[in-house]
Amino acid sequence: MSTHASEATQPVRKKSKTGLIIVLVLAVIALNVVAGKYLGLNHGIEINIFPRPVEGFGGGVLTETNISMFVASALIVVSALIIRIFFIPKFKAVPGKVQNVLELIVGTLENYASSISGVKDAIVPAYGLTVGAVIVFSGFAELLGFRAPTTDFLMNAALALIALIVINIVGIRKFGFPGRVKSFFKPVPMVGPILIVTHLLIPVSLTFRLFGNILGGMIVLELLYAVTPLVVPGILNSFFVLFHAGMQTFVFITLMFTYVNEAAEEPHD
Amino acid sequence: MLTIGIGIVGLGLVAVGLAMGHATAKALEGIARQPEAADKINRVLILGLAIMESVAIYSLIIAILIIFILR
Repeated sequence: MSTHASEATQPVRKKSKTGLIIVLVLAVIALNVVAGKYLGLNHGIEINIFPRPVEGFGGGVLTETNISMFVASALIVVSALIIRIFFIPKFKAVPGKVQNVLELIVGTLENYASSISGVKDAIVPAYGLTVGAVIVFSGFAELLGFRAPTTDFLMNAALALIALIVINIVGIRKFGFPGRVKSFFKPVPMVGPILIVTHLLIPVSLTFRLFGNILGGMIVLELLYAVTPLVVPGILNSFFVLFHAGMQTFVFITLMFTYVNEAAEEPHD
Repeated sequence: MLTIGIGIVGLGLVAVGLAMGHATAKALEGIARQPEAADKINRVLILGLAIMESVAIYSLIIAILIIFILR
């Protein structure tokens, strides 16, 4: 009887979940269409590689990506506070819905980090989740009509430089500082300069990959906003924000884990 | 002149497309030969594709810089 009941309830639940997802996607698209019409700060044929300074707010020091990064940070802080205040104190041994989702995200990321990087250092998945949150929430700021913070070169450079620091923290924790320095000169001392330059090129590569991808998406969207009525770029903007940025987050995190693996593996003698 | 330069930068995409197709074909062969290794092959494939894609991204960035900064 009980199995029958569960079989009977399963399709209904699944259907309602699909309906919820469709409603969410439609809401995102509608929000984006409205925001593109009324809040859009920079939709026009003019495309800037470097963000323009905003007049009257901080005396022209702040650029439009600074403003949208403030919005994205506010979104991140508010959602983190909501999770911390309302959900984490209610955690039980038998998880509820929200706890399940949170544990799924954290557990998946931890497994992924340790399977690729081969170290069980808490800082690695923590920074991966941070990068993911920053990129995804700057996508949400873009949905509100701002220019995405990740289209700023310096923003990506900051993310990649912190990734370099995390990589070296893991290496130093594993081998100690002298061992980490020695690992650059390991097979023969002659390769030292080459390895050091390769190591210093890690943040350059990460920066350009993220910057080029997101900026390319932005330029495509700007051109679309210039030539079509509002609905088409609204839909495509949602696609770029939800799928393309998520894909880039995944690539960024995977590459960072791979570099951590390189930094943490035993040097060859 | 700048237009020709942008076109030449675009030629880099040919190599990237060929390389990505080649890598995917080889990965498919590997999966067909040994389906239980699909997870590992997938992981390495996505990593390799990301690294190849960065070459395409570099040419995109060079083209963008030519268009918007050198003009």
